[in-house]
Amino acid sequence: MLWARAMGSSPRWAKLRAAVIGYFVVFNVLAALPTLGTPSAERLERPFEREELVRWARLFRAVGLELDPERLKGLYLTLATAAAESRSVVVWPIDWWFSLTQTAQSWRLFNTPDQTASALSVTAFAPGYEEVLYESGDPARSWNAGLLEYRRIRAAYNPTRSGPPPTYPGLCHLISERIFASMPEVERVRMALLRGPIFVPGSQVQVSGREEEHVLEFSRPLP
Amino acid sequence: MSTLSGGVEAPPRGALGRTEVSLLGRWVAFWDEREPPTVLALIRIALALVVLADLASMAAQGAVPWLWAPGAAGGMSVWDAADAPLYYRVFPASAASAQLLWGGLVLSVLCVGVGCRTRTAAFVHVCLSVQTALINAPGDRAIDKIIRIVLLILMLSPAGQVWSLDAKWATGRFRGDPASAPAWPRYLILGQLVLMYCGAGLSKGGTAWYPWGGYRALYLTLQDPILARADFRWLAQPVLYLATQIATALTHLWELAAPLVLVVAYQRRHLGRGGRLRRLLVRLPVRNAYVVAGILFHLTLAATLRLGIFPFAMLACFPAFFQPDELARLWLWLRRRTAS
Repeated sequence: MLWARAMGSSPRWAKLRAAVIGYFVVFNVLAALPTLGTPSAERLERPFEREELVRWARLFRAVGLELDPERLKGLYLTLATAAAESRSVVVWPIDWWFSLTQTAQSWRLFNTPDQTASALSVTAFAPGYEEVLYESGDPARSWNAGLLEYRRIRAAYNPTRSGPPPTYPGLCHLISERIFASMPEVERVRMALLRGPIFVPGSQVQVSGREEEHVLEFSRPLP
Repeated sequence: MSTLSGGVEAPPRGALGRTEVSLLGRWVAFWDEREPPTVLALIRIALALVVLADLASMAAQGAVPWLWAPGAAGGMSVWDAADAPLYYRVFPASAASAQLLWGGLVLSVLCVGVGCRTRTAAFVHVCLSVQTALINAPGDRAIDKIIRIVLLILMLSPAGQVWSLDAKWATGRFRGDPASAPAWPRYLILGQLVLMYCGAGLSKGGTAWYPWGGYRALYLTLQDPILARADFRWLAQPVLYLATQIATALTHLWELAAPLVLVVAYQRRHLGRGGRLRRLLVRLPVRNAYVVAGILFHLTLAATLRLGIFPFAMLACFPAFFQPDELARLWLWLRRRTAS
């Protein structure tokens, strides 16, 4: 009955509903406004971020603003810190809702594509031979590709510039267990993220081989 | 417009009293508008199908315990006992509990789809989905947030009033009674789409999305072996590379242009006012062009990148761009075309 009245058009309910909707609309819009990323001086020392600073500085110079990358870095850190602090104050009245429903309005989708890419590599070692069972993007190495490429599993190893997510070691352990269970001859499993530069037409960056990062090895458990 | 035609209905005359003339009164009247709940029902069914397909795919790959069981019981997530998600405070920390969680999600979203105790089912699904986010945060993607937001809105809406078991029980017909019902849930879903696309556009801080970064964003994303569906190195050919640069610019513009849909909808409501720009905006098929571009954008994403259900779940919400009578006309037109 109460619900039917709330859905109805009595003036009192209409006003109450409009007020509640107003609260959610205002704070969700405020929460969806972009921030300037995580302000971290350490992050800005990484090669990708340094190159980004140079590109932004070049743009500012082109419009008559003389800002060298170092000054731009300082300015960015000040503004990003202020923006992050302001955001936390502004969205405070709706934080409880975001936390309760896990629906924070932050839509950072492919916001800073990198000029390097990673691939997950799974290698099995048996007496006398070794075999790369899976490598992202290689159709010839596609052991359990359906599982490893399922969106939620992919999220457990797909790295950002700060490295793989915290679920990476747990996932690698589970993959090794599955290999040991299905391939009795395998004695050791090695997992790594192969990171390498992407060739971009017109770019001066030399595209050389890939480097192994975040290597984890597992030996067959003793019986 | 009348209720039968399926258009948006103004609130009943006098229901809002004297406040109607003020800005506040117009705000109240706007959220009090009514229309048949057919668009909401369509979103409900389409979204439930997409979520069901995702859960089925997850189970087929044997990923359920990996994702949602605790570390000690065959999962990848580890947490301290003090920080255990509510689900694992209630249920034992085992792989069977993870399967039970999956079963609960399947059952609840199936009920949402067929409209069986729609509101309760949507509420239960959101509660369980929140637990999956707490159990395995990296596995909870942007699209899972969107699904929770839309289901929360549908939970409060009359989405189960038509094409549902609830409708069958209430009226004797599965089709139900498409009598006028609150339109605000559709407005909120549309607002959420606009907010998400525009927020994503504004958040793009990497220079690869801009001319001074060479518009390389799509090219770079398509070279990521973890995300790309195929080897796209051939896109380095000059003409094709240029095409990816144009596509990058268009994608970013399309995201940023989302609020234009709301601006045009507002202008259409106030046809009598304004100057040349307003008349031009109203005459141009801005919304339809935006929707067509969005469909192409999402289908291209689905064909080139491994984004799981993201493109399809977003498309499932696209009916919110239209009024019920517009979709009804489109449906009639399609039926006539297929019949002839």
